[in-house]
Amino acid sequence: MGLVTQKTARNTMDWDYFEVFAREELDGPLFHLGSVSAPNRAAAVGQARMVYSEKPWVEMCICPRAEVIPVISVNDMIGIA
Amino acid sequence: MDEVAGQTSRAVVRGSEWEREMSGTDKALMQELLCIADTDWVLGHWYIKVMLNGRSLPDCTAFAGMGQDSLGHTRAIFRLLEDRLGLPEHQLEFGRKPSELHDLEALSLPPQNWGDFLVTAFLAECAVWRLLSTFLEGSDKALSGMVKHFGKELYFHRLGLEGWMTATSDEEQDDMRQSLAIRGPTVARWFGDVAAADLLLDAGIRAASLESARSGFIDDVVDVLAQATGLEPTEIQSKLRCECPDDWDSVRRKCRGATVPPTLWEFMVPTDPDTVTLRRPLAVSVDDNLDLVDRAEYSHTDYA
Repeated sequence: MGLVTQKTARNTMDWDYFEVFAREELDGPLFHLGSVSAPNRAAAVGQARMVYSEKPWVEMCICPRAEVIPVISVNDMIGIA
Repeated sequence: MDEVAGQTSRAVVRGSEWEREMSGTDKALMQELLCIADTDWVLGHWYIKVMLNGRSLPDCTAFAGMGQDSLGHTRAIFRLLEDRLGLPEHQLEFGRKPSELHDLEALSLPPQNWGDFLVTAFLAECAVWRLLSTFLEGSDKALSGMVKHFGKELYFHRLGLEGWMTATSDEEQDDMRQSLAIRGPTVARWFGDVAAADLLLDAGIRAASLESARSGFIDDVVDVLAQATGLEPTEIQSKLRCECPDDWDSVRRKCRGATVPPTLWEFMVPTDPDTVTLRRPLAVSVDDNLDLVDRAEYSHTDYA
């Protein structure tokens, strides 16, 4: 068996976070399942499908955490100048 | 009786308590499905080995999920074949020798680095899906339904690997280019002589030809690999053009005599007593399967 001699350090802290949502039934609510961190959208979609495969979801979607618009936030007092 | 290229296409399957004849179509289907299942079997073990090289917890979990899918598909095909051919349960997983496997030859060489792993796994996933998808609209509804289900899962394998390939360093891109030169031709020739007579296509079990599967494979991989490696599409296409060598075994879709390396085989079907003890026992084992009361524990089968 060949030896892997090259190892490239990866800074995973730079990866984007993606929030994962899924629906269990057609007329059911969209649940927030959790998040994945990935270097790009394709990898994030693949990871989301593999990581959150515990149920036969009828719908699953992800969105970049950076594009989530806060309404009520633990960090910001929205509406208070 | 089915006839293929002037050869008698009936194979006799003998068991200690039963005997039946396998038609030429049954045998061709068994051989083809074993090519797919055995390749998924090896690929699933690649994912298990590589799992801890993930860059984050979801990354590792994704590899575990891909391994689970691949091994699940393998076992589903094994069960289908064992049920249809009247073979004892688990014979295809535990009752064969390495030389009887129909696995993709490109997976017999372990991954040499991260880039090599990504390219090889991506090529193997695309090839498996394209060969599987020839049964998607076929006349065998049980098989086509299974393929449709597999396809929903395999799409995410390819997408995940594509994502990883486009997030590599310059050094890893060099590795991917080298990998493509070595692994590419071996995977491309897996489709074999696409102009040869195809019993499964003639019987309607396969709705798409091997030629269309091969061209679909090329279409699937060229643009992705061009983006990932920086090579020109024409250069990639030239690496994926490969004639089958003289010692090509069209039944196993690999060179004659090529077998799974012993270290990989030991990982797939361990014989080391300590490893066997540590493995979770099968819910239904070969030894205590009640169905075996009515059937032979092992039957001699010519898989070629």
